[in-house]
Amino acid sequence: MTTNEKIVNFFKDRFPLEKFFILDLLAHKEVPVHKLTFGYYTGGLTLLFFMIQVVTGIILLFYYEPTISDANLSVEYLANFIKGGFFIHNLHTWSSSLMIFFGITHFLMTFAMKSFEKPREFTWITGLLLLGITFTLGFTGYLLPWNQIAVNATKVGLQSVQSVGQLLPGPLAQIPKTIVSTFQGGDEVGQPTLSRFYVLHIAFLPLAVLILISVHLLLVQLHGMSQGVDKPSLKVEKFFPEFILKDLMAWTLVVGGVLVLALCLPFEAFLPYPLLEPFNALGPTPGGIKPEWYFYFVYYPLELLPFPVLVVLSMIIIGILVLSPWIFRKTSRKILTIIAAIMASYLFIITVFGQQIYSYLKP
Amino acid sequence: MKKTINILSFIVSVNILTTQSVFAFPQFEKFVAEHSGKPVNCAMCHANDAGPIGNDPGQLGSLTKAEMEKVNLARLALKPGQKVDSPILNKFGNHIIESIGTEKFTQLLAKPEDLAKELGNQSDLDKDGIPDAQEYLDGTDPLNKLNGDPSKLFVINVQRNAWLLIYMAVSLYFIYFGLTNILKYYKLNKG
Amino acid sequence: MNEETDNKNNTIDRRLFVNGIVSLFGGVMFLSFGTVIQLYNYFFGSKLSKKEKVNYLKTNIERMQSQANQSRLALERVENDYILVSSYADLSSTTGVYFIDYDMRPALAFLGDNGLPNLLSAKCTHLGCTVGNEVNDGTILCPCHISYFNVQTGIPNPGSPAKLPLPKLNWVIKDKQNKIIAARGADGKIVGTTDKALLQDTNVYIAKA
Repeated sequence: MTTNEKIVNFFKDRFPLEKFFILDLLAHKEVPVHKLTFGYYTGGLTLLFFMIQVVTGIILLFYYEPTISDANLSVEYLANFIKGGFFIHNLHTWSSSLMIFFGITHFLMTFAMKSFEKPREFTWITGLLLLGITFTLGFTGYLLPWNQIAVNATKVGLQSVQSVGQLLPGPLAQIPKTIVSTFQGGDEVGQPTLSRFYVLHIAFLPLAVLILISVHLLLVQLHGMSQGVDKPSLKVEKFFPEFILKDLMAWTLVVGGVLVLALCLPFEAFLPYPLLEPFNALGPTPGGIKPEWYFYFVYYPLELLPFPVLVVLSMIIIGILVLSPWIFRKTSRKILTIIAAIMASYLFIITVFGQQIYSYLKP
Repeated sequence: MKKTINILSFIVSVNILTTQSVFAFPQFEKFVAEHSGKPVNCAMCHANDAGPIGNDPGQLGSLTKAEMEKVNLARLALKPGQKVDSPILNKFGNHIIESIGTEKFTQLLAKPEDLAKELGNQSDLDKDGIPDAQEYLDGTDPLNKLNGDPSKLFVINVQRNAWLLIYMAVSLYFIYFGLTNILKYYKLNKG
Repeated sequence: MNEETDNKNNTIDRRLFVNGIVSLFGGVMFLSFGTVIQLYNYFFGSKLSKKEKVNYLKTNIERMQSQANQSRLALERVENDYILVSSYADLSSTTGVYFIDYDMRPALAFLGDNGLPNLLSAKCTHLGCTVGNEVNDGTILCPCHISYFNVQTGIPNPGSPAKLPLPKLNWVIKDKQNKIIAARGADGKIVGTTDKALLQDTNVYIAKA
């Protein structure tokens, strides 16, 4: 026995990983190769950004103070006086946007590739929940710097949820109000709101993501990659090591990109400076309050469509998405791809040109 | 003699201005908002984002006698080069008075676009690489190093962090190169 | 012959693998080293210069004071039956005075057309932003979603996202002797004097419901 083998055996005896059936699955898992193969990378990239969020988020906790008198100053202090503070904070903000971007891409690709098909219904539903939680993480994290845009965007967001109550019949009408006051913790957005959003953002929601991601990934491993195209491709590659290596290569490129952004382009530079001032409860709301870009797809319709229409519409869309595995059971991938492309174009147009569309329709 | 008259007339005009409650200079704010297309407020130059009129911190109504004297001293800094520390102005506001003086400043009310030219490109109070005068034109905060025109900030920061970026690129390239080689190895061994 | 090529291929293969592992490992080490160097000091806080420290502490105190002020306002609203809004002379029909109502929500005080105070909630009935205090063409603007409200009635312009009017608040005018000389009651009815000359040296209050 060579020394090499001795060392390997030493660890094999101590960590009998072969008993762990997932490894066995991984060893046999295969990834179909076809024109949509890049879709298989999107989930991994979302996971990468979640990991970046967890790490940078924990590091930020060293300085962040969740009180309405100190929150804004602690973020300012971090960015101005702590070595690397600006970088970590900026990385956290950029990577939150990218996590949502890749989450949405993953969702669209999964839809187009009909990966929700039996027996993967629960993978799909946990995925939708994860996407929802990711948006909520974005929303709750947005409040934490306690500046004008943060607090006012939160007010508008919570008030929108509360307005749904007017449209619900009888006893249901109280539900949105109860939900909002639970999160708001008082008549107005204030210290209780900050405390609640804080605990949601740093403990509750990340834990929920962790649990759901475990289920989601377990299911992905158990079922293997879905075929992705209507005519099953004959070409496959091994998940381990080929796909995983390519996945890591993609991660390397994306990490390079986000590091450049985090070092060189302050995320806040895109906002007018009056919105970055600490929130002033006694003054007027400054102009130009808008949610973060990833909410534009509901924000601009909210501005342009009558509220009840929007609520009914979004209920229907959410319903369709949740029930997709059953509704689109017999639909071909070609049609699903077209639907996904329509969704993608809608998201792209409303996110990039929303403001122009808005000022055109409502001068 | 001429100078005293000048000062006197200025004091009188200031008094008229204050009594009419327009001592804030919305001409500049209006110009910047139009020129940059961005919403701006008084906090670009003033201590309080609602301007100097009122009773809140950083506004005339809240000042002590000593602070009021500082305001008057700043108002009397007709010529450039005098150190001023007016509590109703922020660092940028005081810097404007120091570098051009109140006389020039009041003349600029008619031509707010020329303020940038008068300030010149030397001063950069927040050290973000974009001169204050340029930030004035862009409608960004000259006192916040994280606020500025995104494309300009990006170029400046790439230059500033060049070594760091090269280091990063090299290490990421090694990782990428390593992964490619391992992948090649497995591809060759598959057949 | 065959064996020879195999051997050669094997060497190339092995070299690829070793190269790969080494540069991967090297890259990761490089990157981690750089990150550690860059972020090492993050965890040890920072040494501020005297000037920076002074500015930081001043800002800190300022923010805490504004917080304390808010708590004071809240306390005042629990304890007192009347809250001072503004002196009557300071009210203007073009620029509103902000104050905080009994629910700790922002509100605005104007001088109405009839020469009496005109108090409106400043919390936009659409999504709760704070309405601006400058009057243009007889309206005040909520900047969040561009709702114009008639400053006299509080009713939003047609087409505004806000549908409900800004609620009007009742007020009480007291003279220097703290005697109530005029008031707007629950049903919007005005009692007491409306003589402008008498109102000059008075203060406007809101009363606890």
